[in-house]
Amino acid sequence: MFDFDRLDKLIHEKGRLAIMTLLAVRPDWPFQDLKAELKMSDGNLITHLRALHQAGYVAYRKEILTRPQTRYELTKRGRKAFQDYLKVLEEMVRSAKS
Amino acid sequence: MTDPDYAAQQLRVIRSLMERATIYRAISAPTALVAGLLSLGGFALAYYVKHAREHPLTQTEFLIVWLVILALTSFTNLVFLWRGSVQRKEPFFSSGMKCALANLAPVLLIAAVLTFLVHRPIHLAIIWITLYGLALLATQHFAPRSLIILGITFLFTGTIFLVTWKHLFMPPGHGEPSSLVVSGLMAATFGGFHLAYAAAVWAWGEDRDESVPLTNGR
Repeated sequence: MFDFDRLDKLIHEKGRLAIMTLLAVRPDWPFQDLKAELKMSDGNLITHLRALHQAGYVAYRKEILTRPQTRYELTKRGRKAFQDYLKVLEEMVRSAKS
Repeated sequence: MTDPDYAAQQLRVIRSLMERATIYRAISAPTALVAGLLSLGGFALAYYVKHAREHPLTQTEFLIVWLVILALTSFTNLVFLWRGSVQRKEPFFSSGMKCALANLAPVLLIAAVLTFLVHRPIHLAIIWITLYGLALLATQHFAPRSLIILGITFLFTGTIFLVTWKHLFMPPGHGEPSSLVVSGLMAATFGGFHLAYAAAVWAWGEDRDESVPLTNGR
């Protein structure tokens, strides 16, 4: 039986896992693009991003181009946490095969 | 569901989401099918005209026929891309589409300019084949494997023709290749390659790889 405690509970929640996955594939994401891609409400997305930011997984910066926007990116710590999460899942699959 | 099954499913979901965010298919398989069939239709029209009035399409007629095919194919592509965005509940001008348009624009601009500067059908065909390959490869950083292969095939074929066209199409003692021959070249490349691409997308299941939903976490 696999020990689920090894999975990072913060990332494991489906909304936050989706956010971490998207942040892992591009250098950064504007808030509006994240919202459109994930089809989340503003409040829901902000809540998840705030939780990830408080854990040190996500950084953000505000900028003003034609209009103000906030861009989010994974921190080094966040990227490592995501990679560790993937490794645990891969171990689970491998252990079943061996 | 067992733990390994669950883990495998989670990994599939993550992979699907990553691909959705990074892969953009500028040419859908149904569009390629339509483009392929229209190209074969263009050749059939050139063949019909040659035999019906005993001389092939003029340079202007050749240009008009293939520009009409381009317009119909582009319109079809827009319709399929729009339908896809509606099904996925995504904006039509998604970040992927904006990225693809930005990368395609320089090559397409050159192709448009050359189309109006060059008049000989054989030159036009080779330019279109080569630049189309270049345009597809301009999206390679976020294009699926099949589209990259299509781009390489067009670029490779166009380059071969660029180097050898005089020997292939104007051997000693022969004049300019007729617009029927050039239409045959267009049908073989834009027709044949697009049909092969559409078949590959469906055979490899690439048209299904963006549809895996997020599952509930435990």
